[in-house]
Amino acid sequence: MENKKTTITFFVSFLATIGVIGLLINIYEKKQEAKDSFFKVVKIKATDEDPAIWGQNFPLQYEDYLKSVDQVRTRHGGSEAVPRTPTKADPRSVVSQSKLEEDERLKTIWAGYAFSKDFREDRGHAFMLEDQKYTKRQNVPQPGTCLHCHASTVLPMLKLGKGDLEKGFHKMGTLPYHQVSKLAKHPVACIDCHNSKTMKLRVTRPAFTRSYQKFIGDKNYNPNTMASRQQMKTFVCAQCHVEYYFKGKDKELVYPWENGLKADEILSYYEKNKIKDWVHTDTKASLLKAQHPEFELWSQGIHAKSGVSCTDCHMPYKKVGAHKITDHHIKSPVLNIRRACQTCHNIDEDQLVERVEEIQSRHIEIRDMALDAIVELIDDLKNYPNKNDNSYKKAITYQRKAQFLLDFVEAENSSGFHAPQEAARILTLSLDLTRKGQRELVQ
Amino acid sequence: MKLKLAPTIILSITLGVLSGASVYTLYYAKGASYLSDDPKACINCHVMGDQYNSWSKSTHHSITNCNSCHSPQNKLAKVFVKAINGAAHSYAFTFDQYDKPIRIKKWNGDIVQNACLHCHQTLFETHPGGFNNNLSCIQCHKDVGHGK
Repeated sequence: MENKKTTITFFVSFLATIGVIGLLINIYEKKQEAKDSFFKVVKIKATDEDPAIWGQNFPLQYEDYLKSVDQVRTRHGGSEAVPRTPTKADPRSVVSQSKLEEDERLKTIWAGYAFSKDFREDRGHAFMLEDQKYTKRQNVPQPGTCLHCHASTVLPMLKLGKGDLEKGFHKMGTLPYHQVSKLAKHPVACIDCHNSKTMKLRVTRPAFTRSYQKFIGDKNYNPNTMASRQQMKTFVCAQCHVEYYFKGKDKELVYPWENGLKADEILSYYEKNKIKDWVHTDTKASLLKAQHPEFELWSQGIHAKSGVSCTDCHMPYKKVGAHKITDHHIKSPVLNIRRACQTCHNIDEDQLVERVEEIQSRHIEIRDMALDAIVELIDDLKNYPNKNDNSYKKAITYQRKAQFLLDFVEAENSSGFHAPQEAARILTLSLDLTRKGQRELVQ
Repeated sequence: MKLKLAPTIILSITLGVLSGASVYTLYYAKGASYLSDDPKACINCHVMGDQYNSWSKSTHHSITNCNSCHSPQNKLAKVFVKAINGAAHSYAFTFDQYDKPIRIKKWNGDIVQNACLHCHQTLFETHPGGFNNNLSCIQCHKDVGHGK
């Protein structure tokens, strides 16, 4: 009896000891986590382009950066992985879904332009270079300027300009795409947004600085020395997520912000400078194609007005152990409500998703009305008997304006969320112009 | 004689190791600090680092500690709440079972709300535009105690 008691007591204390020592080690590990552990493994040079080198010093950020290969859908956005058989001309085995197949109307409005041949949902940063190299839009010869944003081009620009970034930027436009793309080795990488010595954010794209100077009317403005840190958290993204066009025969990249950042202000700039991207096959209207104006639309919204930057929602802070780091897995905030939204909005996750989706669903409803109307206008123009009379000539100018405004909102990647009311205003303007065009043809 | 004593000796050694390891763990984990009101006790583990840092710069810094707002005013209730939260937090942190970013639970939120009223009852009565009972003070005044 005594022996049995002793044995039981022994085993209980034996297990308890294991538990206590386990806890002790756990506490020790947690205390180690709290210590600042930055190990400078390599010295990063200003010309180190490969993110893997930077990743040796910043393994946590690098690990997240590599995750942008994921393809995830949200209710109204995101991309889906579609398998394809690789060919010699296009070795990709996975692409994203075709937006042209999803929405036939896009083929109608872009008739005659390369976008009506191949237009897929955007994928993550990791694919920016290969998706541009292999899109069928390359069947039309493109200038090297496209790489300003579709690759890590700090080094290629420096090489082209023999050490002078501005000169390299200029030269890039004069060369054909496939010649410049040989110099581009990586999609956007650490070097494009960070100073290699201090890790401070920096703008490396000359087109942004030049265009922003025109916008604010100060030709000496330098974001790298004059912008606040919070501004830089937007500017690094605004180097590329903007509306643009290629100016002149040198194909210089320009963001059309001289009259302002709003869609109609940008349109007025294009009207004044008589810019056209292509001529519509069926209506012969001189048209404009808008491209991902996320920065412009965001700047009209409530988040911009409240001082919330791109990275606050798309790369929110997160904790790894005791370390607070910026999440370099850039993605839709809808996939990361907790860190992206709840830091400021003390509302349940489900409710926040519902709010976002409600805004986007309403937006898509208005967009559909405006898009249907343009397709109707194009139909009316096609059926109009006298293509030389004044009514017709006037109606195609309405098509140009209405279509650009619609496209501005459609090409923007937030389904209206970045500035819902502004997006609705632009779409209403577009719808109004379309109907005025149709009225021209009836009179 | 020797053989008979052996089990008792082994047991004594085991119990000795257990109590020694326990006492040392308690010391290493600064166990005694949890009985105090010292805010430093709340950053024994790193989870509350940001809250502690921002509290130390906040308007409430000079007149409150963590417990002033996060535990009840009643002394007995305070011990009870500290024990429950202490046990829950130890479990959550050891086994990594907590929301990131961290969010306050309803009942702990109510304790904070009562703490606001404990000092600011008169403010509450004269609050411009009246007061909606569905809202807590910190829903609008969320940075008065500490930031995130």
